[in-house]
Amino acid sequence: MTQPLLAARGITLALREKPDVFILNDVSLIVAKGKIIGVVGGSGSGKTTLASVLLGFVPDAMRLVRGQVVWDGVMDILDSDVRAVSRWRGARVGMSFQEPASAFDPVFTVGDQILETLMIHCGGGRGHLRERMLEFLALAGIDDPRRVAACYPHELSGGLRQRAMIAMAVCTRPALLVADEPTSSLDVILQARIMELFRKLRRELGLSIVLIAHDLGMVSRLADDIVILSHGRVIADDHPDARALLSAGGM
Amino acid sequence: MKPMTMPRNEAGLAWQKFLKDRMAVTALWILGVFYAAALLADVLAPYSLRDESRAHTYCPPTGLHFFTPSGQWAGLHVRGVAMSYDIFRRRMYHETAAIYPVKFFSGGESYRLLGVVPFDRHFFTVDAPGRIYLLGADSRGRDIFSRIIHGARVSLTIGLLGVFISFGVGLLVGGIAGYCGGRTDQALMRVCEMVMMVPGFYLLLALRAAVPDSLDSLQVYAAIVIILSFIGWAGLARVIRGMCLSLKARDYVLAAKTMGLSDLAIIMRHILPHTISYSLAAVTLAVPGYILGESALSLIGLGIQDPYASWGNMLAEAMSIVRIQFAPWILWPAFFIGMTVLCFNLVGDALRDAWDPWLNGKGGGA
Repeated sequence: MTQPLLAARGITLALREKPDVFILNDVSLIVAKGKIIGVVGGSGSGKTTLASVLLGFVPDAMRLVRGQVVWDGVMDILDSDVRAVSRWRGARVGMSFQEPASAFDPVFTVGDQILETLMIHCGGGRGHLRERMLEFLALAGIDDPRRVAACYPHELSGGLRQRAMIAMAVCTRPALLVADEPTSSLDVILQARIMELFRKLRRELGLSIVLIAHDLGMVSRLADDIVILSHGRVIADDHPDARALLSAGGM
Repeated sequence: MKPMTMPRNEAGLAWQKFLKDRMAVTALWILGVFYAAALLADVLAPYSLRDESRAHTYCPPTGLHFFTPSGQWAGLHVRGVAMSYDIFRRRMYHETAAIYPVKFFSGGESYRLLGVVPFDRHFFTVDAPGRIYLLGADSRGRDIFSRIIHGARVSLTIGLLGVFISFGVGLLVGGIAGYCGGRTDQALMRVCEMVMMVPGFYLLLALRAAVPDSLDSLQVYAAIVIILSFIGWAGLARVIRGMCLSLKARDYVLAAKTMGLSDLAIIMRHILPHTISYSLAAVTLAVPGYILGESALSLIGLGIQDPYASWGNMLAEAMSIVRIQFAPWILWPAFFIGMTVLCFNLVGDALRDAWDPWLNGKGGGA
C-alpha cells in the first residue's frame, strides 16, 4: 500500500475542565492521495472538532489525550515545530468553512484575502499572483472573477461566497482540502454544483478531500470512503445511529 | 442634486454618518483652523516669540478704529497708548492722538517660513512705536494674540504626538495580550495595572523629576511627549485586549490561521483593524488629556519655558487673582484650551457614534 497523505490515528480529546468527558474518542482516519473521504455525523458528533484537529488546532477548552495526525508519513502535525506547521497550513492543506460569510474578514475584499494567502506561500510579483487568484476564482466556477474579487464578502450571495472560500482554500495548490459542511447553508441546486466542483478539483488538481457533512446521501455519491461519527466515536454502518442517518438521508 | 452613492466599506459608511453631525463637523472645522494657524504661526502672528515692550505691561486690547477722534476717515488703524498711574499706583492706559495704520502683508521681523524659507511678511502689523494688541498684553508687554498662535504649535502638537505614541504602544501590547492569552496576557496586564494604579498627575511629576532641568526647549518638548505617552498607553491596552479576546474567536481568524498566516500578521491584519472604531474615538477623546497634561506641567513651570510659549505656561501668569482682576485678558489661553478640548470631545463622540454598528442599525458586525 502506498503512503497515505494524511493519517489520523487514535485521536482522543477531552474537555479541560472535565477530563472524563471525551469530545473525540479514538478516532482514526486515513486519507489516500487523490481520494475523497466523507466524514458524516449528526450535530454534536465532533465533526468540526475533528476538522480542526486535522489541521493541528486543538480548541482552547479541550486537551489532546492521545493520538497523532501524520502528514505524508513524515510530520506529526500535533507534535511539530509551530512554524513548520504554520508553513504547512495553507501551502499543503487548505480548509473551507461551514459559514463563508463569517470566514471572510469583512473589512477586506475577497480578492485581497485570497491574494494575502498567495503572497505568504507563493513567490512571484503581485501582478502574477493576481492573475493566479482570478484563475482560481474562475476554476471554482465563478463566471465574473474580476467583479467578485473586488467585492466585500457581504456583497456576495451565499453560493458565490462558498465558491470564493473554496478558491481561497485551493489557490496555493495544496494536496488536501478539508471542507467543513461546504453545502449545509446552500439550496439543493447549489449543493449539487459544489459537489460537481469538488469532482473537478480532484480531477484537475489531483486534490484529496476530507468532506465533512451531515447529509450521508450527498456524501456517499461523491466519497470513496466514509467515516461515520456518533458522540465522538467512529461507528460501523450497521450501528443504530448510522441507520438513522441512512434512513434520514432517504437511502 | 448629485445622487447619493452608498459607500461600500465600513469607513465610508461611518464617515457619511459623521458628516451628518453638524456640531461635530463644526468642531472639526474649528480644530482645522487652529492647526492651520499653528502651522502658519510666523505669518499670522504680528510679533515674534522674543518680542516684548516693557512700557506696555498689561496693556489692554487695543481698539481698532476707522475714524480719527475728530471724525475724519483714516482707514483701519490703532492709536498710540500712554500710561499713567492712578492714586493706588495702578497702571492706567489712555489712547493718544497718534495714529498707526494697520498694514497687511508688509515687512516686519524676519523669520524662516515653516522653519526653512527666509521670509519677513506678516499678515498684519503696525509700524513702531505703535503696538497692536488684539487680545491685550502680558506682564512684559508681549502680545497675547501672537503668543497664543505660537503656543498653539506646542500645545496642539504635543497632544497628537503623545496620543500616537501611546496608542501605538497600547494597540500592540493590547493586541498581543489579547491574542496570545495565557501567561503573556497575565504578565502584560499586570504591568498595565501597575502603570494605571499610580495617580496620573503624581506620576507625571515624578517622571518629570527624573528628566534633567537643564534641557533646551526641544528636548523638554520631547520629554513631555514621552512622559505623557508613558502614562496614557495602559488604559487603551486593556480595552484593546478585551476586544481581541472576542475577535480572535471569529471564524475569519481561524480561517486566516488555516491559511498559514503568522500570529503577528493575523494581529495586524485581521484583529487590530476591527478595533479601529473604538481606537479612533478613543484617540480623539484622549487628545484633550494630553493637552491638559502639558498645560498643567507648563503651568507649574516644569514644561515649556520662557521665552517659548505654550498655552500652559502663558496661564502661569494667571495664577494670581489680583492680576486676573486688573488684566482679565491673560486668561485667553484658557479659552483656547477649553475650545480645543471641547472640539476634540465633540469629534470623538461623533466618531464613536458613527462607527457603532448597533447605533447604525446594522446589528452584529465588527
